[in-house]
Amino acid sequence: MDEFEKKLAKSLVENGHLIPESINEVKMYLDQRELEDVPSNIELDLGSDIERHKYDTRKKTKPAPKLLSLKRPNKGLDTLDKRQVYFRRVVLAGEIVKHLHAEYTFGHVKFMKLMYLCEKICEYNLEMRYSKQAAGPMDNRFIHSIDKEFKKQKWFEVRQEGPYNKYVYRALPGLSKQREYYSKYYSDYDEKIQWLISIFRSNKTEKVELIATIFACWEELLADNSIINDSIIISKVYKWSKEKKKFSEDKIIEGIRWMENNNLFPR
Amino acid sequence: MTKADVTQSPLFNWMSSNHQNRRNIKIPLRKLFDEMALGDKERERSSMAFELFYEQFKNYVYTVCKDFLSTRGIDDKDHLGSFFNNVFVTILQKSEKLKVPDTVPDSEVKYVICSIIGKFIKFEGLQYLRELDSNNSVEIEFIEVYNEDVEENLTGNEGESIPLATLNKALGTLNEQTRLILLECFRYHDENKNIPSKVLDELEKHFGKSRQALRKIKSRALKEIKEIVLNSDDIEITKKTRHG
Repeated sequence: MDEFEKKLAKSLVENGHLIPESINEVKMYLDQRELEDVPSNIELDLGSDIERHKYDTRKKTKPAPKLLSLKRPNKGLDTLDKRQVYFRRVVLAGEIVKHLHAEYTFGHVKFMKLMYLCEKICEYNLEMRYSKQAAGPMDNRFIHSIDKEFKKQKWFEVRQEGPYNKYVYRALPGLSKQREYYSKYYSDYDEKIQWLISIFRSNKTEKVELIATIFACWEELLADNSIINDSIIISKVYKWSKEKKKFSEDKIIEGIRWMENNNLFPR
Repeated sequence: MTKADVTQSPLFNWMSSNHQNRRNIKIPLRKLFDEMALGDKERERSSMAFELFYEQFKNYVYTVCKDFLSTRGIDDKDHLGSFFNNVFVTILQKSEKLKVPDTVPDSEVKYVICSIIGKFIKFEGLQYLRELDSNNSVEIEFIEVYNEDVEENLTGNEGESIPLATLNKALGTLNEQTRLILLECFRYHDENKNIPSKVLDELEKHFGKSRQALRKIKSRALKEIKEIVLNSDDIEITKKTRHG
């Protein structure tokens, strides 16, 4: 890119020319970009003061997210220390990325939701790591450390590409090692994990989000010894976050039936 | 909107109105702006229209706002929240001036609305940057959403940037397809200024052109823009000023 091109790029950004404005630009943008859900901490100001917000440059502290109450004990992981459990999770994450990194819909949100469901299949207790986020259960510490770990293990090179910093994974020669570890740790669960990965391969992130959220709600009800039926699960999903209103009741019921038919629900 | 109007606004009444009743009101997408603008004449309908508008387009607005900030390396969730909020507030305040033309087919209405939203995000984004730059909160009057002059009132010529008028003029000489391809290339290039192959695949599909043809179009467009920019009076003035 020569000097002029750099200058043009800078000018296009500064003057907002990259915001889709014409109908064709909008269409292309919607083709290329998977829309993100509005996080639960962002809400319209609905008070009587509807004036524009001033941009406050002061630093604010945020309350810690509420942790999910996952009370069931680990099965078969009791003897492992934290580092060993972490490494097993990295191996599992590597399996997901290996199969899905070339998919255009694959990003960190889908990654984390699939990770959550795969870990549930493997009956990991997850050490209370997952917290309630608008898009469903999320393990922030893991998702922020995993890319470095992939690089360290020489399994994937991770880059953020484009002005939107999309995560792009490229397989490295060391990935064959991941296969060995995966066979060692996950052979009992492999069939179900592969099924889960393939079923969500081309699905939109929203579908994975819904299933992961229903799973977490259902599991909480079990942990609390509550009565469980469709309407109680629906109400719990809606209480998870205002964002969940985007799922109609029919959609949630469809999700519950799908989970039952596919034997993917907490016990 | 004056302060006196505020409590009568759809936004203010949005949450307070009866949700069950509002479910029975059906508003076609193309009429959303008209209904939002009804205000206290038809409070229930205008509240519902705004709610529908928000539900339908919030993720689009959020994603574009986030992208706008991230292209400038800004990752401040509070600012993003305010930015997002302000876009909706401004759209609501200007809803009476907004219209989806009757000639637009139903299948295209949502794209037309997104394109209108884009103008508001641009306005709000540039307003935001100006507030940050000047470190004060001088509000800019929203002149007219469809008026191209808005941009010139909002942006100045900074450092090594191409003056806005020149840039607009140069982009204006390109045909729609060429301009789209060029902007897509700049929208998605990576830190090494390469276009990810997945994006190129999409462009190939969308325009029915080979990668080589796309590269040629981009290179020709750059050449044309460069020529216009280098020959423009604005640049001459800048050059003269720099050299005293």
